[in-house]
Amino acid sequence: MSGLSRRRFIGGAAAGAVAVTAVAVPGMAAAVPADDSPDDAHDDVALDETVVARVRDLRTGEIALYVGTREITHTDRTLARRLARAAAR
Amino acid sequence: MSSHREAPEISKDPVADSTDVYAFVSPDQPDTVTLIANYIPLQGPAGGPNFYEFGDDVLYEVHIDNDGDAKPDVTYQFRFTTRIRNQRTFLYNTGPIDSLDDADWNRRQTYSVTKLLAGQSPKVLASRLPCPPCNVGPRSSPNYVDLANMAIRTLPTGEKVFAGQRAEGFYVDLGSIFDLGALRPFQNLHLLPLPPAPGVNATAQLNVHTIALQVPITDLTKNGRRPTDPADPKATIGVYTSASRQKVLVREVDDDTGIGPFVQVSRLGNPLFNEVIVPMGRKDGWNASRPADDANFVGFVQRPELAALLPVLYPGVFPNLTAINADRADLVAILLTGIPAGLIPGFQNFTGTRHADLLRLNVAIPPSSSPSVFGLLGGDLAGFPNGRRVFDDVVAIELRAIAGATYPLVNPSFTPDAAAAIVDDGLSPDDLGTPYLQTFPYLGTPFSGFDVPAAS
Repeated sequence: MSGLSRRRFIGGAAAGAVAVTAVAVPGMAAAVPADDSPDDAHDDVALDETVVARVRDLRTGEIALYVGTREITHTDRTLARRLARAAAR
Repeated sequence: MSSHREAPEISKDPVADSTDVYAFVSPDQPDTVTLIANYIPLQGPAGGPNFYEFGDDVLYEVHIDNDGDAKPDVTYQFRFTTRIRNQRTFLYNTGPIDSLDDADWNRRQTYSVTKLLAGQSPKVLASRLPCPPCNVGPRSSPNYVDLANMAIRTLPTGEKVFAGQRAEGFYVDLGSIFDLGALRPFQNLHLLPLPPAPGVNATAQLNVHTIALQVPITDLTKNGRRPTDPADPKATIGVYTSASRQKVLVREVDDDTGIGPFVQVSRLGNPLFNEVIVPMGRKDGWNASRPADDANFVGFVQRPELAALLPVLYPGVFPNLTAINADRADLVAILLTGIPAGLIPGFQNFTGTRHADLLRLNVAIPPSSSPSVFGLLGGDLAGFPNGRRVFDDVVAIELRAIAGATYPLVNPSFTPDAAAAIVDDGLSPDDLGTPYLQTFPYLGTPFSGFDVPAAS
C-alpha cells in the first residue's frame, strides 16, 4: 500500500539537507552590504526537516523560522541581510 | 446556513469548513454526552471519482470548557491519513466494498484521536481507526449501513467515536433566505412580495463529513461528577469545534509540505453566529480568533443587523421589535454567556459573565421523552439553546429570538409581535429526505451517488 505523496511531509528528504526559503522580505530593497561570504564551513548541525525562514524585519534582523510544527523567532541582522541579498538576486 | 461557507476565506477551503456542531445528552445513553462536529459542506453524493474526505493536513478539534473561562479544559484532536492501495487506477474502488479492509477499496482514510487536558501532556487515545468509504452506490457499497457501523469504535478509555460521511442533518431554505431575507411562507408580506409558498430545503439529499464522539459525562465536567441538579453551577459545559492548518505551505510538483504551528482557520459554537451576526468584514477574523476573545464581537449581538432588517423587509409586521431601543441582553445570554437561573423555571446554562460563543449544555437536564424541534422555545429544556440536538430547528429558534420572542426574558413588559412566535422558513426534519438514527452517530445514512441526483 503506497502512501499519499501529495499530502505527505517531506520525510524522504536526505538527513542534513536544509531547505531554506526566504519569503516576504519587507524592506528588502534597503541597501545591503555586499557579503558573499560562504556559509559556515564547520557546520555540525543535522536537520532532516524542511525549514522556512521569513525575514520579518530586515532592520532589526528578526527572522521567523518554521520547522516541524514550531515557529521560532531568531534575531540575526547578518543572516537577515544575507537572506535578503540572496533573495534580491 | 448554520456555518456552511459562512465566511469569505473558509468558503474557499471546504475541507476545513465546519458546518454544524451538536452537543446533547445521549438519549439512549444518558450518562454520556454526544459531541458532533461536521465539516465539508454541501456534498453532492455523486461527486466522484475523488469522493469527499477529511484533510490529512487539517487539525480538527472539539473543545470543552467546563470552568467558565471560555478556554478549553478538554480537547479531542482528530488527525487523518489517506492511503492509496493502487496508484495505477483512477477509480475509488475496483469492486464492491464489503469491509473496511476490502482490497477493492482503493482510497481510504484512517484517523487518530488525541485527548488534551488543560495543563497536561497530550494523550493519544487511539490511532489507525478506520473511516467508512463514501456511499458510492449499490454496486460499490452494497451494504453501506453495515460498513458504516463497522467504523463505530469504542476506545479503551470509554469514548465511542465515528468519523466519516453522513447525511446532512441541518435544514434551511437558503435559496429564499439569501434572496433578500425572504421566508417563503410569509413572502406575501415581504417588501418585494410573492405569493406564499412552502419552504424549500437547500440541504436536502446532500451529505457532510462527521466527527462524532460519545463521552461519559464524568469526563467532561469540572469536578468529574455527573450532576443531577440543573441548578448546579458546575452542570454546564461549553463546546466548540475548530479546524487549523499549518502556517506555511510549500507546494512542490509531487509533494505539499505543511510547516510551522497550526493556526485556526475555522471555528463554530452556536449555529449561525458567524453567518448572520458577524458582519462580512469581520468574519474571517472571527474564524481565526478564540471564544475567549469574543468580547470583540459582543456589539454585533447586542444590536444584531437582522433585528433591524426584519421590520424593513416585512413592513408593518414587527412594530414592537422596531420599538426596542436597548441592547439585546436576551441574545447575549443565549449566545455569549448562557441563560442565568431565574429566567426560565427549572433551567439555567450560565457559565459566567465572560462573553464567548460556545454551545452551552447543562448536562444535568435529561433527554426529553417528547422533544420539540423548537427546543427551549417549545418548552423542551433539553433542546437548543441548551446544547443542540441533530433535529433542532435552529433556524426558526434563532429567527424567532432575534425577532423578539425571547426579549421578555430580560424585559417582562415587552410584548413580542405576533409574527415573532411563528416566523420560520417553513421547513422541518421531514424535508431532509432521510431519517435521523436513533443511536450513535445519530445523523442519517449518507445519500449514495447512484441515487442522488435521481433519474428524471
